[in-house]
Amino acid sequence: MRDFPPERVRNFSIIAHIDHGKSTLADRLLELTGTISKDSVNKQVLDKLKVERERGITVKAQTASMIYNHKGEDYLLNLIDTPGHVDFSYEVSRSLAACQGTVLLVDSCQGIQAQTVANFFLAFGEDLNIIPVLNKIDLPGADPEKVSRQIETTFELDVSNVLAISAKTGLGVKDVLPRIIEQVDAPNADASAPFRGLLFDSWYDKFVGVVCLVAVRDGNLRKGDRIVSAHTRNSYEVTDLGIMFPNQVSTASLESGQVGYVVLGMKTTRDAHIGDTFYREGSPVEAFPGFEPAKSMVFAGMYPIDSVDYTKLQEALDRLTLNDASVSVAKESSVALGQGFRLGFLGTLHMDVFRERLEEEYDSTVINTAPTVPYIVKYTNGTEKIIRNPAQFPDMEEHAKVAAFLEPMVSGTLVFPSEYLGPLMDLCGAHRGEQQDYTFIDDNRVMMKYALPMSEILTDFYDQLKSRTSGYASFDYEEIGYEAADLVKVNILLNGKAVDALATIVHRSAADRVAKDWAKRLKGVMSRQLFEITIQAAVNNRVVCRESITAVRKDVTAKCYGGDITRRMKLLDKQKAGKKRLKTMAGGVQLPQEAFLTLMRGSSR
Amino acid sequence: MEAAQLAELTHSLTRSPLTNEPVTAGRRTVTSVYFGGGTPSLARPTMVSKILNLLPTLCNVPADIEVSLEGNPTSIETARLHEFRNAGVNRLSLGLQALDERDLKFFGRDHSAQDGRRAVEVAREVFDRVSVDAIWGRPGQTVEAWTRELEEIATFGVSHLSLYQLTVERGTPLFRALTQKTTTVPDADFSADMYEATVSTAARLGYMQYEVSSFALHGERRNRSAHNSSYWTGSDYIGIGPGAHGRVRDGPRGRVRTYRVLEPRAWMAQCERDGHGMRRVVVVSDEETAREVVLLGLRTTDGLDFDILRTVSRAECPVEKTLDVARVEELIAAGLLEWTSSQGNGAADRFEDAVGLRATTKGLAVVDRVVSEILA
Repeated sequence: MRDFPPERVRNFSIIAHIDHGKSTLADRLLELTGTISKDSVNKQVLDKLKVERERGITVKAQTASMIYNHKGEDYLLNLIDTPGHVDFSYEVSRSLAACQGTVLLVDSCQGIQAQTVANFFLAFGEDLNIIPVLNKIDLPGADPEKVSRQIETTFELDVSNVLAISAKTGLGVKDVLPRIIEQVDAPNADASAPFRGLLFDSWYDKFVGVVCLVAVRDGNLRKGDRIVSAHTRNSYEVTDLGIMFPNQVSTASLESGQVGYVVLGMKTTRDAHIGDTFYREGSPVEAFPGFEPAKSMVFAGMYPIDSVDYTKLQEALDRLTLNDASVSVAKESSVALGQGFRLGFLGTLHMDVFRERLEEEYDSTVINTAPTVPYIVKYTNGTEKIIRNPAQFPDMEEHAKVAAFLEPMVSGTLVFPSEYLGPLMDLCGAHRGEQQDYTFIDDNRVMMKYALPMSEILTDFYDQLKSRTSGYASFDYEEIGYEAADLVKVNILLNGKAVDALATIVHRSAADRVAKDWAKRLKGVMSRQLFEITIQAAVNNRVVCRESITAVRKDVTAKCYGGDITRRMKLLDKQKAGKKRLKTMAGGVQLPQEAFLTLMRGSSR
Repeated sequence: MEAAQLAELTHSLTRSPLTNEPVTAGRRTVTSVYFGGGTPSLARPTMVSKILNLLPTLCNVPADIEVSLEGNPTSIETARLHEFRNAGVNRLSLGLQALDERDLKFFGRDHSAQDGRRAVEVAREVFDRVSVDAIWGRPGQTVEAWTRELEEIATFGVSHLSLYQLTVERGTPLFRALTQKTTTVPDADFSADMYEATVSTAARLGYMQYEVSSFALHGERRNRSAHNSSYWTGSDYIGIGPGAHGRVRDGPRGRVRTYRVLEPRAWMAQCERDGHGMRRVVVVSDEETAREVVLLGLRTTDGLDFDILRTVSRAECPVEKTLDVARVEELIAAGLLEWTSSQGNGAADRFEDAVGLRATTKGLAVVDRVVSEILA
């Protein structure tokens, strides 16, 4: 590693909108440098987790180091991968902070999309050298001229020599690395200063524990060294370190300006705080700026359908969170559902991905309650409370003491063909959005900014966005703090008893509609039972609608002799298995898991 | 065929189904014999005699043993019925199914309504216990039409009625017709109406329901089917012949289910070779036996008897292991079940005082659902 002084190191990443070819380009570069072989097993090597592979997105960031000879000199090129979704923008920003430059990859058919914009601004904020590259020029719809102009207008980047490539066919790819070497600054590293490293990613390996990805800013690191986390003040011994080539390859040291992995004997990724600074024990340094502890923006309750499985669920959650420190887990209990957990996610995609992984990991049925954002209640006596669960919403008697309710807001960026301007303004307006800005990116595309309550984009906003624009619109958002809101609680009552797990907090303007919709939807997924079921929905305890399901009156086998009995018993066993998917509420009403799922999906507007 | 049946009967009463070893624990008591399952009218009276003569050599036979024969109205001839009577049959079960010509055709029967009426008449002359089978819930059938038919059936004065709702089995022409939507059967609510009408009409006409589909004249016990009752009270039953099912206690080894080879020739060949035609013997756990007793007991108006439950499942443990008592209480509150007390037909207030559990009239109509919910 000492063969590579900072001048011959380049740390860069590739940023792009979803499906603009980031992973394909990364594969090509790795193949080109001989780091991986050309066979198909390596397809999109950087997407390691199956769920991510299935959904075509990168959630975990990986790094790969390459060695490339340019003008007679060997360079160490570190490709730092970045998560591709808006929910993980903090992780993206920290990965970018580990680089000095980035390739801004834009699909030359689709042009700039919302995440191209979002990622650009993150990179810009980290002061990186940004190299625009047009991709997919092999496609018939490619229009490199037009897209170059978009880039120039929107980002004020120099596109006079912009590279136009096709990562899929390999066309033009050989020019990418030389361009990077020439245009990305070498890391500004001080080899003589005490060790200072930026932790920008981690994962859990079942053999060695937590593996951290570190960008060495100053100094160097060797096996056996002891380093300290600036955030937790925990100290660790480096038991192994090296580079990702693309899999872990041990080296004797990591030098200043370089990027690689370290194994510290950490037991859980919760101890590895993304954006943290590591320094040598005894030589504290100034921490890197921009560090933030992970912040959960979407909360959902998770309960085992059968209370005997509580421990099993706990263990499954423990296993999964070993490798995902950004999920917060708190114990919770519900009158209706018993003992369970409240999980906090970075966003709805994060929640969906996590839920899928949980279903694979934990082999029984889990009940999820409808997702909610953290609201704030301000009391007249000056105190404040954060509410992550509708059950915590103040009772009606307490309302006199409430000064205000606050809800988290986001600033959403939408990029779409201008013909959809009307429908999208309607969509945002219907979701209590306030327009902040709009500009034309080029002749027929608009970039629009709206301030929206975060709760409004939780469920069907994204789907609506896509369907109203035939898939052409893209969306990104960032949090912009809290605002006052007129909030009420919608409750579902079954046979007169309020079910705390079937409650939600909404804006007063939407309350009646949500109440009626929930009652109807619930009726739709519940089957007739042995007694009549009355479903009522109430807004702040005032019942606004009612549905009923009549009791089943006939369910009996006509004949039951000899061989019939055997068949009947078999059927009974099968039904027992099916019963496991039903949760019995107070008063004997049985709810299928679907009841909770359907309410999570949001209303069709 | 005859030889095979006799061989199998002997085997079933003298050897363990599981081990084939001779049974040493003494003789069983056989309380009923039923000749059925297919077209047993093809069975000859001599066959009946042979079997009834063989039985006392193998087991205890009470004087009031019930010997039933299942018959179709087409194959009835007066002379033959008398022969069966002489051979020892003391109860006849007639598969009337319907008194409507079109429905009979729909059921694929080769007898006419008139054949049916005549057959009942003859049967009544020969036997004092006659049961008539009829099916309701046919495509296009109205409650009124069924009620009228039932009223006519009641005029025959037979001792027992089996009134079954039409059940659609996979692979039948009816099943296909339903999937192709060329016909319909009553939906759940209409079935409920028809079922209620069946029970109340039958009662009005003197036939009291004692099991979901079984009705005894004047509600008298001697008019019930002893054979069927044994299924529902957890007794052993031995099935003889191709495809027959059985459930017996095999000594200390516990309860087993027996399955005979289905195809007649293959079954006969095996009987010749091994002395029996069992293709499979499955041990039934005590827990499963307990569940079975609950399932069957609740189908009867007498209900589930806790003593029987404990005895048959060899359980020294309390009833709570098999039943979810809390759920039972919820269903009692909903009017679907009641605890039975030792005082005649009374209901008990609490589980602690109960000797059994039974479904109410409302509960019997949904007893399948009830059972699946109260089994622990």
